[in-house]
This record gives sequence, C-alpha cells and structure tokens, in this order.
Amino acid sequence: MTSSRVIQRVLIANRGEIARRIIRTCSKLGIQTVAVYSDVDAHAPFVHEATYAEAIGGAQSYLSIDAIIAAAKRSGADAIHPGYGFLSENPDFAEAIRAAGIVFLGPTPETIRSLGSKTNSKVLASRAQAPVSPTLLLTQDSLDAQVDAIKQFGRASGYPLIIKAAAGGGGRGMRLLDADTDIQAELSSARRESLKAFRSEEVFIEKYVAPARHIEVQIIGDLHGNVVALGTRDCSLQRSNQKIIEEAPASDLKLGVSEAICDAAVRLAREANYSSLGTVEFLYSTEGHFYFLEVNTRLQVEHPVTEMITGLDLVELQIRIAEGRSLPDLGITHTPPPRGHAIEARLCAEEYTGQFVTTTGVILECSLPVHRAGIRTDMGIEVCSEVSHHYDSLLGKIIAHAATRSEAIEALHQALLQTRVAGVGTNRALLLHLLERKEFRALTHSVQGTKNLLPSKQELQNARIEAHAIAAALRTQLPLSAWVQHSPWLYVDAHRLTRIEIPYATRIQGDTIRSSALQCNEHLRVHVTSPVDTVVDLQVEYLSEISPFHLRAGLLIGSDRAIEVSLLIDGPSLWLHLPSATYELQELHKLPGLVATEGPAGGTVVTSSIPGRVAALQCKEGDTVTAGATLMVLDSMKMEHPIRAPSDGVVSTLPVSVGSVVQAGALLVVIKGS
Amino acid sequence: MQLGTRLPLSEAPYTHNLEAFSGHLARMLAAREGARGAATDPAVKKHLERGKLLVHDRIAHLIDPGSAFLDVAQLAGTGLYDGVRPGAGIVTGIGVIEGIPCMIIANDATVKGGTYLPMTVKKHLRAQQIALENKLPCVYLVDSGGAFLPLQDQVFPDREHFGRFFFNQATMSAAGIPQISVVLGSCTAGGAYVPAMSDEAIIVRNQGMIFLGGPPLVKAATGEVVTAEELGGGDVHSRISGVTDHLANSDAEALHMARRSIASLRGIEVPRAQREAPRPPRFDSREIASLIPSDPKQYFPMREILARILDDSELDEFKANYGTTIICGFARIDGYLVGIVANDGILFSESALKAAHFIQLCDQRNIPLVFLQNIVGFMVGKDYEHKGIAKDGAKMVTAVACARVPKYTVIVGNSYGAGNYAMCGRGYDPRFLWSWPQSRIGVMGPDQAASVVTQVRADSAKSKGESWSEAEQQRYYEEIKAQYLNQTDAMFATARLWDDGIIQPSETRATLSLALSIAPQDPRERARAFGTFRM
Repeated sequence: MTSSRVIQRVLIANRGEIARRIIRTCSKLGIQTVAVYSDVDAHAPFVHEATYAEAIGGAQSYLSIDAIIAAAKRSGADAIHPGYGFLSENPDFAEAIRAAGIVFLGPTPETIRSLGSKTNSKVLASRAQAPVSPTLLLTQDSLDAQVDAIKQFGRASGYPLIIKAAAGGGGRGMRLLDADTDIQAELSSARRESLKAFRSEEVFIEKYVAPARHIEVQIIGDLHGNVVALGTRDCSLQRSNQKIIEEAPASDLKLGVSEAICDAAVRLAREANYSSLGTVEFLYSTEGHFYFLEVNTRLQVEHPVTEMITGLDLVELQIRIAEGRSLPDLGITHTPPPRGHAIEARLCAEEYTGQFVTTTGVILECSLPVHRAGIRTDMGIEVCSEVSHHYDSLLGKIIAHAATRSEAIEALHQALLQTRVAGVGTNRALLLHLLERKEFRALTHSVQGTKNLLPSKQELQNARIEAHAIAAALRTQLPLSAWVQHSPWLYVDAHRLTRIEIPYATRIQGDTIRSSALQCNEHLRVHVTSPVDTVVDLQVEYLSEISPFHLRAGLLIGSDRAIEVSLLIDGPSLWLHLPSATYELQELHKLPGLVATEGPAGGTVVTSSIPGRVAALQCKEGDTVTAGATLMVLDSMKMEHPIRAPSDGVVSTLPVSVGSVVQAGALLVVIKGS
Repeated sequence: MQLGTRLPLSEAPYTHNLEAFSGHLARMLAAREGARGAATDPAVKKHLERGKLLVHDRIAHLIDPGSAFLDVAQLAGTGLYDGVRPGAGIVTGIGVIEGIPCMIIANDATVKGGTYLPMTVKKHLRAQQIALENKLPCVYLVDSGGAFLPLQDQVFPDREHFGRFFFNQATMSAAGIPQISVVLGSCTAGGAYVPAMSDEAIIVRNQGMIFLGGPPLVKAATGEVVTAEELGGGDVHSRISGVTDHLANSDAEALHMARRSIASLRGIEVPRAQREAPRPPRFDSREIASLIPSDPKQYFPMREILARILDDSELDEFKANYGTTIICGFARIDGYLVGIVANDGILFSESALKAAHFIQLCDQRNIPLVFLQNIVGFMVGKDYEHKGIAKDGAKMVTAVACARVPKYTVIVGNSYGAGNYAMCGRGYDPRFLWSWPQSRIGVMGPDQAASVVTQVRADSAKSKGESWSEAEQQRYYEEIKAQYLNQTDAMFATARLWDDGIIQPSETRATLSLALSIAPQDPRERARAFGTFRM
C-alpha cells in the first residue's frame, strides 16, 4: 500500500470560486498552491491568491491535459487538484498525472473510468444492491432501429423516458421524452451535445422517475479500503438538470431511508474500490423509493453544505487521504450526525426573464453579506472581474448554516437580500423567489416541479415596471454633468413655470418601458404607457451620494411601502438594486441611437437571447414552419439551446449558417405569416 | 444679520392681503394654463394626427428627464392677437441637455402655423440675447411658416426684426456659442435660414421642409411644378443639397439626435457661477403672498419678504443705518452669493449714494446684483432739489448702467419713474427681469398720473378761459386713471415683453437660483469703468 508522504505544493487545474476555495484550505495547511490560468483569466482573483501562477494558453486550455501537466512540472507541484468540471472526471487526465509521478487528488483512473460510464456504473450499482430504474442500452444498430427500440421500451416501462449521455454530468446530453414523438431529433441532439461535452456519443435511455427529489450522499474512501458516508444532501431545486439550491441534510425522508441510502452509497463505493471523495446521486420518489442515478468522482459544487453540518474540510480530507492517511486516523469512522442544517444558493450570471438568459460583462460592484453569523460566501469574482461566455455561469455560492431548516432558509434569504452584484445580470431575484415558495418550505417540491415554482411572466413584468418607475423617480435627481450636480437644475420638484410631463424610456431585460411623469405635490406620478398602461406613485424620501456614480435612496411606493435602493450609473446603464432584485436599465435617451423595435414589415423577428454559435440548422429560407418547430440549435455556455418558431409562417430571412457566431440580440431568423 | 419675524398670518390684514393677491395670481395662472393648447383645439388635433409632438412635449424629450425648464416670456402676446394663445406661438426657455444648460427656441405650429407675430419676433430675439449674455448653446426647434404676412411691417424691416435672428446666429457661432437646429416642420423663406445658419442641422423625413420659396411661389415664379417633399424635404436636404446634416424618422428620433449633438459640447463647457451649500430661508416663501399689502398705500415689508427669499434669512447689511430707504447687503440665494439692492421706501440722496457705493463694491468683487424693485420714485420738493437729488440719483443710475457683473431685477411692487432706472429697469440690461403678479410699471402710478394730467388740462382750460365742470373733471380723472390701471398692469407689461415673465413670490428664489446658476464665472470682460459721477 502507498506509504505516507507529505504534499507540499498543489496545482489547481481549475478556475473561479473552486480554485479560490482550494487555495484557502491549502493556505490553512501551509501548502503552496499553483494556479493555472487561461489568457481570459489572467487578472482573475484566484490567479493572484495562489502562491504561484502558470499561464496555460487560450480560453479552452483548462481542458488541455498536456498544458496542465507541463505547468505542474514547471512549477514543481507534487499534487494536482482537479476541482469540478473540466478534467475532474477525465480518467486520461488522472492517468497522465500518475504517469508524470504527481499525486492526483481524486480516485484512481480505473475507478473514474468504471464509474464515469453511466451504463457501467449502473451495473456496479446493481451488483452493490442499490436500486436502479429500468434502463435501455442502445445497440450499434441503425438509427431507425434504435428509435424503434426506444418506442418499445417506452411502451413497456411507460413514459416519460430520459436520454442520458453515458459519459455525462451536469445535464449535458440529457433529453426528456414525454411520448414517442420527436425521438430521432432529441436523440441526435443529445449525441451532439454529449460528443461536444464528453467526447463520446454514447447515450442510453432510462425510465424517468418523476416527480422525485434529488438526494445524494457524500462519501469518502481512503487508500486502505475504508469507505464512510458523510451524510445526505437534497438538491431538488434544479433547472434543466442544473442545481440551483442545495441543502444538507436531506430532510423529511421516510423512516430509515437516510440510513438505507447512505448504506447503498457505501456498498457501491466499496464495489468500485473507491479511494477518495465522491458523491452518489439518487432520485427519491414520492412513494419513498430511491433509485441510483450516477456517481460523481470529484468534489461537488455543493460540498460546503456538508462541510457546514459536519465541521469537516473536505478539501483537506482529499489531501490527507492522498497523503496516505486512513479514515480512522483522521477520526472518521461512521456517518457524523448532522449539526443543524445548511443551505446553499448558486449565484449565476444569468437572469430569468421567462427564460434563462446568460449574461456577460464586467463586475462593477460585488458586495456580500460576509459578516453575518452562519453565512459563508465562496465567490469567484471581485469588482472588475470579467464574466465571459467562455465558462460556466457560476459566479459563486452563498451558504447559510443554522439550527433548523427553516432558520437556515431564512438566513440565506436575508443574506441574498443583502447581496449586491452589479455589472452582470444575476439570478439573485430568482433565488429569493424560490426560497420564498411555500412548496419549497414545505418540501413538496421536486426536480421536475421546479419549473412550476418559477415566477410568472406577469410577476416578472410587474417587477420590471416597478423598477422603471423607481428609476424614473431617481432620474429626476441624477446629474448628467458635474455642473448640474452642483446647480439647482435637478430637484425632485424641478422648477417649471409650464406644466411639462417628463418622458422616460428604459430597456430592462429586453423589454422597452415608456412612461411620462408629473410632479403632484409631494409625490411623482409615473404613468407607464408601454408595454401596459398603469400608474405608479412614488416619493423619494432621501437620496445620499456614495460617489457621483453611486447613490443610495429611500422611496415610498404608493402611500405605504417604503423601500431602500441603491443605484450605480454606468454610461447609459443604471444598475438598480432593489431589495429583491437587481436590474440593469438602459436609458434610451442616453443610447447612441434609437433602436428600431419593429422588424421588417410583417415579419416576426427571432433574435438570440444569448451569445453563442449555431450548432445545427433545421430550416432554410422559404421553408414553411409551424409554431414551436425547432429552427436551429444554438450552442452557448456549453449547452444546446433549441430555437423554435414563435409562429406559423415562412422563413423569409435566415442570415446565419452552421458555425455562425452570434451575439446576444443578433437576428437569427425572420418568419413571415403564410 | 437675521431677518424676519413670525407673523399672525391668519389674522387681518394678512388675510385681506392674501385675498387681494390671489385675484392677481389667478389671472396669471389661468394664462399659464392657457399657454398650452387644449386637446380639443382643431390645430392641436391636426398636429397630433400628423404624428408630430406638441411643442412642450418636444422640449420634454429634448431636456434631461426631470430637469428644470426656465421659461422666457412665457405669456408674451397675451391678449394682443385674435386666436393666439399666451406665448405668441413660440416657446423659449432654458433647459439642461446632457448636463449642459441650453437656450431652447421652439415654434408652436398649432398657433397660426408657427408664424412670427411682432411679439413672436421680440421673444425670439430676447431669447437669443439671453443666450448671448449667458453663453448658452441655442437649440432651435423649427416648425414655422415664417413671417406673419398681414403684419409684415411690424416683423420684417427694422433692426430688431426678423433679419436680426440670423445676424445673431452668425455672431453667436463666431463667439463660440453653438447653434443647432432641428427641423420638425416647415421652414419657409426667411425661416429657411434658421437651419442654414446653424452649426448643425437635423431634419425629420417626410415632415421637415426647408425652402426659400414654397411650391405655389415656385409655380408662380418659374412655372415649375414640384411637390414640397421634392422641393425641400428631409431626404433632399440630407442627400442632395446638404443643407441638413442628419436625417431622422420622427420627432423623438430628431430630438434624440439633438441631444447627441449637445453631448459633444462637453469640451467647450463654460465655467459657471460657484455655489455653496444652499440653506433654505427660515420662513416659508409661500407666506409672501400674505405680506403684500392689499392697499398699495400701506407699508410694503421688504425685510420680511427678503427673510422669505434669502438663504437662512440672512443678510450682511451694508450701511444699515445710513440712507435707510434702500436696503443693500450681501446674501446668498440658494447657495449663490449676491448683492441685494431692495427698496424700503422712497429714494433720497443718501439712499442713492449708498446704493451707488454698494453697486461699485459688487462690481469690484464680482458679485452679481439682485434688485428688488418697489419704488414710486425719488423724493421731490424744494429742499431735495436744492440739495441736488438729481445728481445723486444720476450717480446711482451711472453705477447701475456701468456695473459689469450680472444684474437680475424682480419688480415686486411698483416700478415708477426714475426709480425704475436707478433700480435696474429693462433699459439697464439686467440679465433677467421678472414681475410679480400684482406689480405695476409705468412713468407714474394711476392716481398720481390721473391727478397730474387732470391738473394740467384744468390749468390749460383755465388759461384759455374755458369752463370745465367739476363732474367733467372727475370723469376725465377716472378715464385717465383707468387707462393707467390697465397699462401699468403686470399682465399688460408681460404681454409686451417688458419683462421676461411673471413669477409668483414663492417661485422667486428658485427662479433667481436658476438664472444665477447659468451666469458664466467671470463676466467682467471689459475693464472696470464708470461714467463720470457728478459730485
């Protein structure tokens, strides 16, 4: 067996918040760190925080095994931590590291390989007597034969089914089949995404357990054959298989399930000779049954919730185990009883506007509730950090720990109310909204039901209109030049002999809102005329200046609702922080040109809501299409986004082709009514 | 020194005062509301049907959202022309665009097609004068049929008529004061020179029109048949003639382009008046309405009024115990340091000497002067003439005329006779001159005038040996008094542009503040020089 050794210098083959988090533990342990960074990340916080930093090339170089091994050799690292994503579950990477005589802070290449294939892991799970849902493995037959096989499987075990990438994770390559239509397109799309993300086209079909909660078990094994479960987590709030909010331990499981699920996870880990940190994921049905899903052979994004209820440092454990320490030696002999409850929210560079829209930009403000008791923030960004479309949209995580689940939820809610990130749109409003949902509080939510918990279009629009009205009221006090700032020309009750209404137009999340305002005694009456007709009365109670471009204000909305807001002025953009949401408002009067709102006469214009690349085109000019038909597939942030026809008609303009790189807002296609 | 006392405003005579003042105020406010075209007006309807914005909405789109707009001669022309709303078919005033104060001169096409009546011309020129003195970029929102032809003799030929617009544009442009036009409607004949003489011109497609002669005139002159759009539409001028520089698709877009143009002036921003943190007066300025005596013969409490205008109600008084019928002193208005000259009685020699001294101090120290006029004139009588009150009054008039600092005048009460000159009346080029709604201006007061004129006529009749009955004398007296009451009225004055507008007492502080704020920092371009002070 491996003799004891001491790790002195860890190279982190990752970026963002997880790189910083690993650096934190290494610093604590007196271990030096080596950051590797792409050109894009040259000024990122994790690069400065590491003891040493090595440039490894372009944006995609975190996926380059050669570049990373070379950097490790150059810097004299004796161990490599892969973080999550990128190469973390790539057995070739683990093998190359071993071949280079460096310690890989993860399981052996063999373990990764055997568990990395979902089909193989299912075999292992069955052997370990962990429950597995009905599965169809696809043969190498013709596509038609495969489709037929799927239809047959669907009839036998019942829809819905799910297509999964055998090598997959994080929702990539996954497709849901509700019925036996569209199977061929979904299958091809899943294969394309899988190939791109995992370099493997292999997919399989599984009966979809729904509604279900996502329950997972944190396990840890050592080099001496010991395996212990460190407890459960519940990650049921997901959108398109991406976790949004995670907690530990999993609450409200049927009697004995918690122990049973941990035991199953440990049996499976033993079966796979597991010798490091990992996670075994399960679906937990409303009937109280659990089904094995997959094993993640790495540190998870949501590992902090387990750390907070166990008091363990999981990164430290990864290092100690790799050094050859045994679990009993580290004081871990059985599942530690949870101490209270912890919950984590993923703060991402994306906004929910009825759909999820990824955002990019430069962080102008990043103010976190770091001094609240029981709050931990793991952030990858700082002021001036650039958020690009090259990487995952995760900006960081906010984690709350309290005695009970409801207290932890409340603490996280409070912390999010105090989180101020500007410069890049975030999902803060959505996180708050989800935490407020009674279904979530009552644990009646599910993975599949998350979409029903999202705010309605009406709620979203009302919130935007209110943000516009607040900006309209504050706008009357915002100086456009140093001179105006110290002149009497801007008052709440701007002096006018003639009654002149104040027109104001903004664009918020692609929605153009127009209003005209009139000062009525103490309050300002903002009459919104577009997109809906409504009136908002506001009163600015105070306005204080943090800097000429950063203001804090108190307003009264209607007659009785007092709120505090802050505002950041960035050229034609205003970043408005309301307690429950942050909006970027583009002021139309400050934009260089008025942007046409209508498309070419009579056509419906489809624009891209995200920057990306056209991965597949399923229509051509002149095609007649029906509403809802997939016109093309955009590839953005490593996810495929189908673009569907908004209405019936004929494709009259199609300025893109496969491979076209499009910016957010770019014209994709024009559909003319037939 | 702290001014002002708490007064029992809910008691007589203050309640009577308020009632009397409210009558004057109501007339003025009704005229202000009348300056905006009613939605039912057919011209307004037609304008809107063409997809055009009304003039006030154009201004609202042009200026920074929520910033102030300081009207100039808002009620010019009131009651002078049939079918013409207060304002004489043009809106002029100062607004802030992209943080830069600008003079906006905007035709109202819903009033006689935006044509220029005599008062329209006078108002346009007055606005240009204010722009010149305060170095304000000018934005012309053009939508006008040119001169009002039936009155061509009163708008075209003279020095201060139509042609002067373009003289001013050329000389202001030369002086570095940008001239920008937005052609939002027709721009015919002489009017064509407004955009043509501008530094930068924007036009709206299928709406803006520039030509020296319109289609009817062209047909009459040469027989050529051409549509207005072909002759001088936005496309023609932006593509072919080059008369305009930017082509917009709508009013809103054109005004947005004008904002972009003004934004480019950041590099030539004029340093303007310095301001300290403003402090409100210790007394509410709305109380002034109750302080103005309903009977003009009653004492006008100038110090109480100052207490309701000045920052912290504070005045550093100069020569407080000398020539006490005039109040001089340094104060701040909304943070701007000013020299106050305010009447507190009739002018005597000492008062005139004190004021002449104080005005020289302000000129030396570069402190703008604010005159609050309530003056029936200089003291008369043998003793005073013998003591040379005429030469002392002349010293004050000389000081006022020659002071280089910006001067601002508010007629808060009466403005009669030579007192008007000494207190910086219109003839003395104050940067702005405003009147309160109940104020009067004239060579003398109605009662006094009626007495004097009747007395002269009676003397003349007597010398000719004609008989003039007591009753006839009384009727004549009343006739003259009525004429003077009408002609000295503030509404009569403002309609003829003898002032830059009527403002409420409660608006005075804010209005003065806006005007003070735009004054260029050091206006003392010429050397300090006063005319001979007759000693």
